[in-house]
Amino acid sequence: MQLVLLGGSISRASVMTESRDNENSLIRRVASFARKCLFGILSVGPIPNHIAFIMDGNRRYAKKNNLEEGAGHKLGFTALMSMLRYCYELNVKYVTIYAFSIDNFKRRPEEVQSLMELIREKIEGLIKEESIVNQYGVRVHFVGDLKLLDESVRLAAKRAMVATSKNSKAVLSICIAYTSTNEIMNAVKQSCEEKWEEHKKLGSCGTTNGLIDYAEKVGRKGNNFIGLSDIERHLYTRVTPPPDILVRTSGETRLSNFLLWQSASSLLYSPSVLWPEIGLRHLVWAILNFQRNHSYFEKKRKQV
Amino acid sequence: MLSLGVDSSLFCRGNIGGILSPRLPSPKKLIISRGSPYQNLGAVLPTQNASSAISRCISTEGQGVYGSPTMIWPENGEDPFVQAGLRQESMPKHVAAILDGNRRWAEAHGKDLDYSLFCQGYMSLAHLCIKWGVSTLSCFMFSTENWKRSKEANDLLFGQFQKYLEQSLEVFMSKGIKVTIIGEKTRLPKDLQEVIKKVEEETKINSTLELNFAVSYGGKWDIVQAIRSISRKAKAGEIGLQDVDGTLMDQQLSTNGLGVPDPDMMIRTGGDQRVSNFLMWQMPHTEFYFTDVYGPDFREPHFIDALRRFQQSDRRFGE
Repeated sequence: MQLVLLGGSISRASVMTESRDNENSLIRRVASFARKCLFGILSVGPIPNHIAFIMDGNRRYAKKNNLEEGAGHKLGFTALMSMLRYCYELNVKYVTIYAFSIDNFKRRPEEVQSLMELIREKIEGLIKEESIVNQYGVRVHFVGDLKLLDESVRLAAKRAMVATSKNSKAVLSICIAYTSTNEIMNAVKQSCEEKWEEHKKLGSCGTTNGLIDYAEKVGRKGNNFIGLSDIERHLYTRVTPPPDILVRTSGETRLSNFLLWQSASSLLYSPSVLWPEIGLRHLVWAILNFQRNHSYFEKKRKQV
Repeated sequence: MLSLGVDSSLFCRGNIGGILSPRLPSPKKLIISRGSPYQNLGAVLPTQNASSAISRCISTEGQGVYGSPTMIWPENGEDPFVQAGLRQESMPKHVAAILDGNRRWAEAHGKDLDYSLFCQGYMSLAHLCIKWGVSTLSCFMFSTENWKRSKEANDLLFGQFQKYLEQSLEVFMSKGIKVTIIGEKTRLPKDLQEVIKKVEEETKINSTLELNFAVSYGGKWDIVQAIRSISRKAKAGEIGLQDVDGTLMDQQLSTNGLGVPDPDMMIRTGGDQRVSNFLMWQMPHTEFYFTDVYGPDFREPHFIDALRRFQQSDRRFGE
C-alpha cells in the first residue's frame, strides 16, 4: 500500500516536473521568437561587424551579493555565453573578449590560480559538440602572449583552436595574457626581424647590377622601411577587422591596455552595469547608439 | 546668484582671445557623465544652483589667477578643492583634450567656422589646468586623418593657429607655460613651422604648465616613427634586438620630453565617444570623459565635473 502511495507521489512529482519543463521550454521558445523579431527590426539599420567586450565587474558583483570568491567570474561566464548568443543571432561576425590581461598576473596568486582553472575548464567546455561555438559555427582564436600561461591552459587553448578551425560563420577572439602594448612590441620585434632578414639576404646576394640597384633602393628607404602595414601584419589580432563598438561594463571608461591600436575609431560604450548583470537591453542600446552615430561617422570620415 | 557667462569670474578674466563671449546655449544635454551633480537637474545650461556652488570657490575678481604658480584661495579662506568636491592630492597630472564640435557649434549658431575659438578653447583649458593644479595639458589640434580635408579648411586652421601662437607668446611667458608641438611638423606650412620653432624655443624655460599641441599627429604615426627611430639605432649598431622593449619605445615617442608622458584623463567634447587616433601607446589606463557639450561651450563647471569623475573612478591598473 505504502509502495503504491510512494509510486503515486513519485509519478505525480515527475508529471509536475515534466509540465514545468514544458512551461520553461515554451517560455524559452517565446523569448527566442521575440528576440528574433527584435533583431529583425534592428537589422534594418547597419549592424556592427565586430564588437569587443571588456568584462569588468565580476569581483564587485560577488562582493555586492555576498557570494564566495570566484562565483562572480562563474556568473560572468554565463553572462558571456548569453551575450555571444545574442551577437551571433544578430549576425555580428566578430566578437573579441578581454578574458585576462598581463596586468592581472599582479593579483593574488590564489585568485590568478582559480581564474586560470576556470578558464581552462571553460575552454574545454567550448570544444564540446553542444557548445555555442559549434552551434553557431564560430572559429575560436586565442590572442595574447600564450607563453605566459600554464601549460594546461595553453594546451587547452591550442586544442580549442584546432577543434574549431573548420568553423567559418563567425569568429571569437579570446584575449588572454594580453595587453595592447605587449602586442605592439611583439609586432615591432617581428617586423624588425623580418626586415633585417630581408636586408641580410640582399646583402649576401650576387653582384648583378639589378640586385645592387634594388639593394640601394631599399637601403635609401632603409631609414623608413618599417610601415603601418608591417606592424598590422604582425599583430595578434590581424585575423579580425577593427572593432566597431568597444563595450566596457561597470561604468569605468578606460581601455586598460586593450586593443589600443585597433580601437582608434571604435565607438566606446560604458554602461554602469556590472558584467554578470549585462543583458540584451545593453547590447540593443549599444547597437542603437552605433546606428545613430553610423551615418554621422561615415559622413565625417569622408569629410575628414 | 551667479550664472555661467554672466559672471565673468567663472572664466579667467582678461583671457587671451576674449573668452568673455556671450552665453550661448548648447543644444545638447549638458553633461552625461555618471554621478554628475548636473545629471538630475535636466537643464540644458548649468543651473543657477550648480553655478553658484562652483563660483563660491572661485576668486571673484580674477586676482592672482595670472602669474602665480600656486593655487588661488578664495578671499573668504574656503578651500576651493573642498568647495568643488575635489581632493587636491589626487588631481590628474596630465590631461589630454579633444575639444570637438566646432563645426556643429558654428552651424548651430549660424556662424562661419572659426578655428580661433578652437584655439581659445584650449587656452582657457590651459588656464583651468594651471588653476586646478594639472601640470601637463595635451591638445589635439590636427590629426593625420585631417589631411583628407579640403586645402582651404586646413589652410584656415593653420593660419589661425599660427596667429594664435604669435599673439599668445606674451601670455605663455607671463603664465609660465611651456609650449611643445608634437606631430609630423615637416608636413606643415613653412611659416607655421618657423613660428612653432620660435615659440618652443622661447617658452622652454617655463615650468608652470606644459602645453602640448598635437598637430598633424596620429597615435599610429607616433608608434611607427618611434619604431623607425629604433630601427635606425639598431642599424647603426647602437642597440640590439634584445634591447627593444616598452621602455625603449617610451623614449622614442613624441611625448618623451613631457614630465608625465601618459595622460591620466582624456576629455572629449562634442558627443563622439571615440579616441580617434589620439595618443595611443600613452593611454592604456587613461580615464575618458565624454560630454555632449560642444568645444566652444566647454567651461569650468564641466572641467570640474570631469575632475570629479576622474577622482571617483577606481584605478586598479589590472590588480
